[in-house]
Amino acid sequence: MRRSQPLLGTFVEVCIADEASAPAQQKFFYQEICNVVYREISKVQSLMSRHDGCSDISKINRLSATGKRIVLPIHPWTYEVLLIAQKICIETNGLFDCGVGQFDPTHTTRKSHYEHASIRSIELLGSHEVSLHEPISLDLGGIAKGYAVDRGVDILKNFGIEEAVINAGGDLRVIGQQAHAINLRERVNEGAYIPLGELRDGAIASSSTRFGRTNMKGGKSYLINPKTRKYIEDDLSYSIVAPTCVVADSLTKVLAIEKNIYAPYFKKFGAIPIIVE
Amino acid sequence: MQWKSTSCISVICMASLSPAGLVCAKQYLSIDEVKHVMFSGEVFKQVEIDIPIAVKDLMRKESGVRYAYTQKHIWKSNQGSWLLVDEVVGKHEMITYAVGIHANGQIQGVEILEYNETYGEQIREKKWLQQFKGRDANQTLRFNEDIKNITGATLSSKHVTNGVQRLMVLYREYLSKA
Repeated sequence: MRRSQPLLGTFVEVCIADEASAPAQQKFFYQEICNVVYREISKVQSLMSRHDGCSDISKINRLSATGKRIVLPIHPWTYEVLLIAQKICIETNGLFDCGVGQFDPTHTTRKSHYEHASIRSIELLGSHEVSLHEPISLDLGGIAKGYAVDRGVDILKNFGIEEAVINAGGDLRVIGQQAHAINLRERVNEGAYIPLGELRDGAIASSSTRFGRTNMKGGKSYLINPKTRKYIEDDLSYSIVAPTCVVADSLTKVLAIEKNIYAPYFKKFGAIPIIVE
Repeated sequence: MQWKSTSCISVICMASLSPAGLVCAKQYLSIDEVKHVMFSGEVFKQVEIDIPIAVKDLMRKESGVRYAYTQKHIWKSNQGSWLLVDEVVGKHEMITYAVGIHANGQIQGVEILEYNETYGEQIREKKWLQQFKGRDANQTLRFNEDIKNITGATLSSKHVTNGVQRLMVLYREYLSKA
């Protein structure tokens, strides 16, 4: 049974293994479970989208613009993502930083204001509250998709689903002991897919500097190195296999920036880096 | 977690891997299934409408979707809900999707029914597009391989969002007043 909905700016696919001969009642039950998964993912979207004025992220960014040190209560899920994002930021020595947000290195007026912007400057207080120490341009685009997939997987597991896949536009997680062939979308040879390997009970996510939209200077990238604040412009594909999708999603950006498959943080998070040249 | 890589090294050269497939067709829900998923228990009847040119213009203007709306797949339920099925052409894909609108005008759900990913060049060819015209949405299109798990840079769902917008203009300007 396979469903797809446009969410998180991409297509979110939910596949639950079932038999063609399964009774209609069971199929209906699976459809209902999918509805619950989609509701959960929609909630992540409304909490963490930069484009939704009511989201926690918009609230934090607005607070940052005022320059006031106010304590802001946020949803426990947003709090959890910020906590994970900070941990990854620290472990990767600042290579993964959602606080740089949509910082545009070519935009000179905003450049100085957000010069020291970093997720590390958010203070995560108890009882799901945050306080800001520096101006920040928060964008969870590099981590929220993975988190949403993990939340969806938790729902499936709670309903007792043993074999399933959730794929949010390439950030995917499989549950169960069945091996799933994973293919990488490849645009150099347009429309082709290349087999990367087989995955059981884990997640994979990919980033590619090949697919980036044209930035203001006409370059073809969307990834920014948080340290140099410059766009990464090369022609490679980066994938991370990890136990959870939130880790896979965020570490692909780190791999794209440092390109070091031997970096200690991959091992620390139980991740396997793959670069396709 | 268990990973069995195609290659024994972590840095793979593209040339060493052979493409698995060239296009990808994915089937999700059928129209009957989508009715059941969105509006369980409601009975739908297909309706034929004649959209005034002024409404068509508004649909195009507000959504940015420039090609014509087929207006063939519109259903109304006994409780006043609507189910609209439409197709959008993306950069590299042809997508059939359904929008469910509750009797109170709220979107009940958006579901992808079919997703065909293909060559950028191919989709621009008139002949290739022709195969979708007048097609029954239940009809299955088969390509060389149905690949299930694809990773890679995220595909945008912007075209579907624009498509949903154009159907909501149709609802607001015409269906809700009918």
